[in-house]
Amino acid sequence: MTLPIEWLNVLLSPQAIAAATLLIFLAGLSEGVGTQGVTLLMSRITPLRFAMGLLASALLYVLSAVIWMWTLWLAMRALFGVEVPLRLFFVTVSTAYGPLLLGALALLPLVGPAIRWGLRLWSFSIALASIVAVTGLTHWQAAVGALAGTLLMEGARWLLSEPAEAVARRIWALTTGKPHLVRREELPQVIPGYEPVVKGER
Amino acid sequence: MITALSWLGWALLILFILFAIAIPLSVLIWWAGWRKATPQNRLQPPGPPAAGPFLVYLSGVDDISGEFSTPFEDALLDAIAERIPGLVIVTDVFAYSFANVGITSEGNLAWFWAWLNSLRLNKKSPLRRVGRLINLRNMLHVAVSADRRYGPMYNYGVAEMIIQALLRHGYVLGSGSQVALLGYSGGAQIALGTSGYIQATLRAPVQVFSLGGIMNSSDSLSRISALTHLYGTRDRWHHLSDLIFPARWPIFRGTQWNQALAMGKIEKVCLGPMVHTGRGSYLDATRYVEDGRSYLDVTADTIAERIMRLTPSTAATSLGA
Repeated sequence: MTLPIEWLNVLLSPQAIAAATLLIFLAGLSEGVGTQGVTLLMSRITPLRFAMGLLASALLYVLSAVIWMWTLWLAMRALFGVEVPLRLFFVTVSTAYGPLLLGALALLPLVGPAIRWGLRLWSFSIALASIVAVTGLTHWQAAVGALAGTLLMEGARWLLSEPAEAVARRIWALTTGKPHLVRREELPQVIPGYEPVVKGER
Repeated sequence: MITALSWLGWALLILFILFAIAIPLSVLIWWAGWRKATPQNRLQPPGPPAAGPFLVYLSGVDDISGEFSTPFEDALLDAIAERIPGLVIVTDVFAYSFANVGITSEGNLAWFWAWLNSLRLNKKSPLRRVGRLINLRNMLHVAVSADRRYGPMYNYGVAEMIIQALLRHGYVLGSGSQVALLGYSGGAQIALGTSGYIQATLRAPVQVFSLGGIMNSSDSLSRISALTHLYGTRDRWHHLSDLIFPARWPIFRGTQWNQALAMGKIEKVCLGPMVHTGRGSYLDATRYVEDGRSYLDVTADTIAERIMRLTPSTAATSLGA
């Protein structure tokens, strides 16, 4: 299945790019509420810092999505000689972020993480279908291209992991006002004010 | 008509999802310090000192407050108290609120829960089953306690409420008196989840009893002296935990649950042909096992024997671990 020609003008318009970016941003915000939100509140930050942290996380999410789609596009070109404008590819593949608008459902107790993975699978299947639609490749070729693109991005992330982590730490510290994320293992085990006073202990 | 029903179904589903998300969010918001402490959070003056041991009872998911209890529950607790001299029983903790606030007494929805409770208690009401929404609400709290993301905070809050209740009943900090937590059904998850904090804070031997309980694996298992899971052969609910909590699946040998099981810290005791609730349950004093004891007596005997078994010498061993 390929895209009808009359759709192309719509998909290449600036409004389409803006709508795609907004969709990814909202998906990032929803996913941020579902995952990052828990960590932020666990770290006992103020409401303002919480909002800033979520905003920063959604902006980083958009950046990461753009880089992912760019590496996919590069992989499709290199592997299968696909000649599709990057704008068109971006707008079409961004539809894959639609299901992730429900990312906040990850907050549901016990079933939340499973829902999150379900949404990601759904999103990935939409990504494959949209790649097939925009490039005319088969599903298998699209899957190989998507895997290659993802590996390319992960490879770059691994190479740049140290500076990227330093930047992420800096952004975290700036937005939340806390030096680092509080992990579950770091939560207090003893409830202050009720411990028995033992001689020799301060 | 079908469209209207479909819309109603969707509206109810969305309402349920929002409510289910609101519970962990309220815990996180309290933890983050955005919400002021409720009056119950202030430490009340301690009661006259008691030597103990102490037994804290956490009711099942049909509970509405720390004050509410059924005559059957009272009968079980009385039977245990008769068997252990000096046992102090603590019942005024509501397991399904991190601030120990009864659902019918405070909050914006207090009127709604009070109405549901009145429906539930009215045997002639055609809407009696709607009262089960209280169980659903409390089940969501069990899920929050069992969730590895929210459990540490929720259980911390309830543990503080339990410690405050222990102090009200005469527990002396530093006395090292044994604390036993008895959780019925969903209350077992809260008992296990909170037990680690209570042990770490009081530095006293803590053991947990699960009465047909539903529980996830917990970090508390590395701290407590013992977990005794009591079940009946006709209780279908207690099997649920083995299915829904992956950390309890035997293939994951490294989990706290499976390690504690391998070390013998978890004891599973079959009490007889009991069902989960109602007639023929663990609290039934009108049905009898082959040796002539009532179901209630079997339950009380088993719990009392294990509380007595945890003597100060074994407690010292456990604390040193």
